[in-house]
Amino acid sequence: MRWLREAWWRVGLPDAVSWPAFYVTLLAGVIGNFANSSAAMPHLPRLAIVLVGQVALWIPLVVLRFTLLRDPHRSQPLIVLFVFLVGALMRLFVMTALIVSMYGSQSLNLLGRFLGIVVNIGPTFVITAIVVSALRERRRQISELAATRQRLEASLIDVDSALLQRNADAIESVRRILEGELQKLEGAQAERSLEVLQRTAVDIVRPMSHELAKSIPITVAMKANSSPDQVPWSHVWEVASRGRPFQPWFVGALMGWELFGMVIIRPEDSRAFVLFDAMFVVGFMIANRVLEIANRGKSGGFRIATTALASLVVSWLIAASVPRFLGTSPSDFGILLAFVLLGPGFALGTAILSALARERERVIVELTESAHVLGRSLARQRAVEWFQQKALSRALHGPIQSAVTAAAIRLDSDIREGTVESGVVETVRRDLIAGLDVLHQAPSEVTTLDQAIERMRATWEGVCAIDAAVSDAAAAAIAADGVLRSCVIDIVTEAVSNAVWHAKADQTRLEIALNPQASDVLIVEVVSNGRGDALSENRGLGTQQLDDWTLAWSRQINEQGSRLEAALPVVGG
Amino acid sequence: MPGAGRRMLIVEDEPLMASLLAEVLLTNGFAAEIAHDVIEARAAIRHFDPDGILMDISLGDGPSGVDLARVLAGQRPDIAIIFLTKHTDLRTAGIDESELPASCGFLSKDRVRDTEYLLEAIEAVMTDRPREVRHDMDPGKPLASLSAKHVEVLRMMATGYTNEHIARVKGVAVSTVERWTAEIFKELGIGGKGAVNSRVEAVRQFIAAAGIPDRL
Repeated sequence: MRWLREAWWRVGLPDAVSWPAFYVTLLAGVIGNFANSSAAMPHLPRLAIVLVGQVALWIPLVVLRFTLLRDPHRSQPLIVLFVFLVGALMRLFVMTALIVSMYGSQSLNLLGRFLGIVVNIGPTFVITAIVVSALRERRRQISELAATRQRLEASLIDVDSALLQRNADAIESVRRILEGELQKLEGAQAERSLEVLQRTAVDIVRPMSHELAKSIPITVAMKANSSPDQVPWSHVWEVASRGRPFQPWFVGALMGWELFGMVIIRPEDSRAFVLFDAMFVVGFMIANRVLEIANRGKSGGFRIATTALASLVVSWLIAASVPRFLGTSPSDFGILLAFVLLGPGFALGTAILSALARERERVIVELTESAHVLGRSLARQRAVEWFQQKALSRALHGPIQSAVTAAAIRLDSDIREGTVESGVVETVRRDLIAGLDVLHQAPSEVTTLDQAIERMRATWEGVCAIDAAVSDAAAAAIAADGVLRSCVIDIVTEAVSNAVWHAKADQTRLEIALNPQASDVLIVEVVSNGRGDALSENRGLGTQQLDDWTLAWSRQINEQGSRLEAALPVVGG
Repeated sequence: MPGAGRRMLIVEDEPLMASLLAEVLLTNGFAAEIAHDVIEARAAIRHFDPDGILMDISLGDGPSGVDLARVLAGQRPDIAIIFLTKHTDLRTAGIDESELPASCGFLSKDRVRDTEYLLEAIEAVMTDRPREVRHDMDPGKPLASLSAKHVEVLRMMATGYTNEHIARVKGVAVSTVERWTAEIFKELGIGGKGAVNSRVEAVRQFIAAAGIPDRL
């Protein structure tokens, strides 16, 4: 039933009124008119009348398309079908008027003709609307995914190639600034040196932060604009001709619907029409088997040619049998036209459309997968950015600032006590410059996840009980990856803090494990019994971290508490 | 001696800074103990029973000194707490001042070298005069005219975020963010005419007051 609802939805979309639908309904109209009309009329004027009728049918549809049917997200199937009926009436009246004006008053079964239009052209219009809408949606998906992938690739290249180099640049920039400041101590008197140190201690944060910040790129994967179709038609033809190209039952259904219109006009030949339909089904089944064998190992061009030839052979053989079963003169143009054109048309059309849908689906899957991979990489790189920035910032605000402050205090103390020794300033300067090596060093102490959890327990002691369950595999992954560890600690720290302060939680549980379906994904869950409504008001807390570092995250809040779940990429998982 | 035997706990993850502070305190008659993280701090509170705590806001990975201070304010209101911070304005660091215990004092790290200032700050907080040690509440400080919300938005602008991104993070409409930025420009005395780009000028004033913020 889901496919029925989807089909109904597609009938009401703007894609229902399209050039393919115009041409297909025109073909159906021509064939139907020639096959079913009993009026004696030359072929060319008849064709011209059908063309004018087709325009009359489409005028209200086009008007609808550019007025009420503009929103691609809003489906109005009833309006579309109503306007189609209005168009059918217009077609009927225009064609009747033309026939009467050209050939005088005739006995025309208007109701029958109207029903003929609805039965013959209506389903064609509906089916074309569904197919076109589905294919265009796939094409749009492919375009968006392809462009998104390009954006992700560009972002990743930008971050990946520049990350290490920019970090090195940042360190060197910082070092140059600090050394420049400290050089001022050279040859200076104690009091002057103290001023320099005090100014350095005060200004050490801002220029350092500036150097850090401007060297770290901010990358965002933007939503992409559409780009050209990613599935070339030449490739679709080639794919369509592989294996068993035809869809016999689909062809039979389409041909059957066309023949149904003829059955209404000529019920005495209904058995013959059923037989013809069955012949199409069986004929294309046999053609499938033959082509599967004949095309094995052959080139794409050969397969395409044989497939097209097979569709013509099957259809024309059946057309040739029409006089035998219907007793109709071979000059009955309409039925021959239907079998000769519609047979190959339906066969090749369904084959190509089926191949197109399969190929686009395949491309969508591939693009989705590549976007997923790139998204993982980008999340990882952003986490690395943050980790490096944090480490560098800690080096500056920790050891370096402390060293400068210590030097300033000692010098200040010596000055006050009048015990400044000669050469002390130079000693201080050399020691401080040597201390800048900390910028290149990895942190001497690494906080483990267990230590961080113990710190949380110590912090919230008496306020909130913290329970933690970390799987062995997750613990190993976290222990082996400093960046992942830092991200996990920051996320759970922020989540617990929010739960305690904003939701008044007194019980919190941490669950950290690898995704059972994907061992390269770490799942972090923070569950608390905090009052959820207060937490929901604080949208900005830590959400930027989650957006940047995770593959996906969610927060569920209800009266019982809150649950934060985040998925992070595991490197080497 | 200023210390008069009072017990001060120093909670600072940077060993050199911690030893500097301890040296200053010991020289001035205080009994001092050092804790490098929250776990050590909790243990020290139990056995050392300090009269006051000199606490860094950033204590490495895990909860910050602010979290611990807020818990202690409820559990041990008898302990005076003085924060050490590199920020001249806590709001620019994304810290909501209204969530902090009123009894806390704030000491800028770059003034730690001034021994007299340090001792005066400790004395003020211990004698229930913490507002004398709230340099962050100086009405003459940069960005003083801005509310906490405005400072937060200005901080995000200085981080490089667009109004659309700020709206998404804050959970409000873009028009609301635009209104906030207009209010910020007005408070900072930034006109909308002339050759100066209002947004750039506002960010420049923020950076001059607080430095370029961490990205998060």
